[in-house]
Amino acid sequence: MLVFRRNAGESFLVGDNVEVRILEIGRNQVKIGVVAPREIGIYRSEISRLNRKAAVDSLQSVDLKNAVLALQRALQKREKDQPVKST
Amino acid sequence: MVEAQPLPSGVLRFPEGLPGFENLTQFVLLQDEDLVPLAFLASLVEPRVCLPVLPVRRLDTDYDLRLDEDDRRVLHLTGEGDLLCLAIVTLGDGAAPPTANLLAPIVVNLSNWTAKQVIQIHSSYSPALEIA
Repeated sequence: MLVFRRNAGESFLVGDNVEVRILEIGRNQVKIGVVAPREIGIYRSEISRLNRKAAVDSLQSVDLKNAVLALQRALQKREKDQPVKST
Repeated sequence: MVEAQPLPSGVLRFPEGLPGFENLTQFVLLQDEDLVPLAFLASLVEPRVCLPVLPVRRLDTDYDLRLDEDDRRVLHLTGEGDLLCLAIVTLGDGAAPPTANLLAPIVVNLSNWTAKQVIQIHSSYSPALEIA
């Protein structure tokens, strides 16, 4: 892994046509801007990870039936606790 | 009780794939009346990829979905459009509770069955809302 330091306002290039800009540095977060061609997908890695986990859990859940029942009960409870407005 | 919206029964096309499964662009929604309101978003080419989904409105009736220009372009959406908004559910393993991703719902344009996972950058929605 390449490791280097950047200050707010600075940027770096990945290949010829992707530029990553450090816009703001907060206490626990950095705000990042990415300039890239449309066809390049940019995904937050946690979304990819979550999708994979959701797919894996549904497959590996040895007791899918029970997992679904638990979910259905939780949903019913939720709707009872937070009455739904008619729209 | 939120009125159930019928789910599309044909092939959903994800032009950009699904994050984590970028090469998969064709999915179907599998439904079983015993599992309602849960459905499964299953890849047509990779049967191991099967994600449980719930209509977002079942979790948050006031859900504030926003689409930017790029989302609308990918979905071929003009005007308001007829949309379906689904949250991906992680069922958990018994010890961990089921959670739903409200930060990045799957939005389906019901007029052409094109779909995209849309990150709600403006929001503070949780990627792992505990359903309990």
